[in-house]
Amino acid sequence: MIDEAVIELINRELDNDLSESEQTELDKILAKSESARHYRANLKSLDTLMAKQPAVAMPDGLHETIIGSIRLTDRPVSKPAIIARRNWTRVAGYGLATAAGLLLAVGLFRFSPDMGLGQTDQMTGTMAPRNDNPVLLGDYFVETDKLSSSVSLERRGAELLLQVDLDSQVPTELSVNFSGSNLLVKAVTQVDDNLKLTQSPNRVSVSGQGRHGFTVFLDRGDDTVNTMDQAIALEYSSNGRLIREAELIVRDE
Amino acid sequence: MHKDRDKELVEECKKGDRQAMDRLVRQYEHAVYNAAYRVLGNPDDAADVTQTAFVRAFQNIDQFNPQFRFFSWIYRIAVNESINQIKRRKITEPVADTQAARGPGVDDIVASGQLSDEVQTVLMTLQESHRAVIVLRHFSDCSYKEIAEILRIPEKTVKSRLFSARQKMKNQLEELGILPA
Repeated sequence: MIDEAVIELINRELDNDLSESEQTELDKILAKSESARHYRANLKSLDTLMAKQPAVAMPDGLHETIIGSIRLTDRPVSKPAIIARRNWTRVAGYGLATAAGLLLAVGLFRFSPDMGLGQTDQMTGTMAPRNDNPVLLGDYFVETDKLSSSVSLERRGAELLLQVDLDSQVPTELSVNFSGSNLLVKAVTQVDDNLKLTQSPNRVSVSGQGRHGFTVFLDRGDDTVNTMDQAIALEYSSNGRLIREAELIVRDE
Repeated sequence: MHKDRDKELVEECKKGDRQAMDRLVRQYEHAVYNAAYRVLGNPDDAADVTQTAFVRAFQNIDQFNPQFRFFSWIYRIAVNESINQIKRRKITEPVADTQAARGPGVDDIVASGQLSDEVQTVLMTLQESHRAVIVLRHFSDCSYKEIAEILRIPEKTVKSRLFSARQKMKNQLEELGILPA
């Protein structure tokens, strides 16, 4: 058994952090202790092993993707490029679904902050406020054989929005729980009537199959809650079986 | 690490100079990608995190504190983003899937003969905060002071996490027969 202090000295020696006197002290210990020498040899082997690990090559085109995502003069920057790189066809599909939803909607509805919940309950169409650059506060993606979904929390001007895309080949339920954050549900819009939706101030649940997109308008509740530790809980399930559970961490602005 | 040149490039970026931005990205993208890869263990996630880290860094370039080094700042964003990524993707899946997500078993590791995979597999068993310290020290070659600056933790904490993480890695690699017991 080696003394903790000796273990620390050996570790610090490996990191070139010892003073001259500490090195002398360690050398004396090593001269006397077989177990200390053994520990030191093994630690050096670990260091050598990690040093031999080859650098991982960056994927082709990543530099261009990064450069293309950065705007220096028109900040803040939205993040759709990441989704786009993952799956162009799927994103194009979302676009088509949204366009179809817009055509089906009675007319484009422009959300007004003054509107009460009673009025917003009946809204259809995609109704993210326009003209404000979105600031991404958190996002989550899931992609399995039968389910593809993205959830992003954005601030657009004074509005806080949760944008949800759900594409499932099997009946799927998504439950979004805001209890772990200071956010409260103000209103929810949906693209079509095939998506069954229930809502309360702390939760939105949807169930359906196929491709859907909707927006949750949110209010900030208790401002005393530490914004660094906020999370929105997401649960995807199918026929009562949990498929995926995740937390969308709300980034500090 | 190119401290003064980086400062100049950051100032140029604040004025909207895309060439300066391109040079800063080129300077650190490989290192950031590799650090993210080692923390996340997945090339796609590492690419996402690298992109997000640079986007966020330049999105907030006006808030960059010149007292810190640019590389500390971008590493900090990347490591935090990597840890967030792990939390966001925390999965509760059926047992079979969970086992698959853990990677190969001990026998598979030994049989595969791929040392790189083995080291990464053992690395992935460490808790995120310990993994981040190991990655910054051993794969990004940062000093205690730099790690403390990147993670905003005291140097004392860096050392205790690093020594403890090394011990865990050493024990596991010894059990696997990769390091002598």
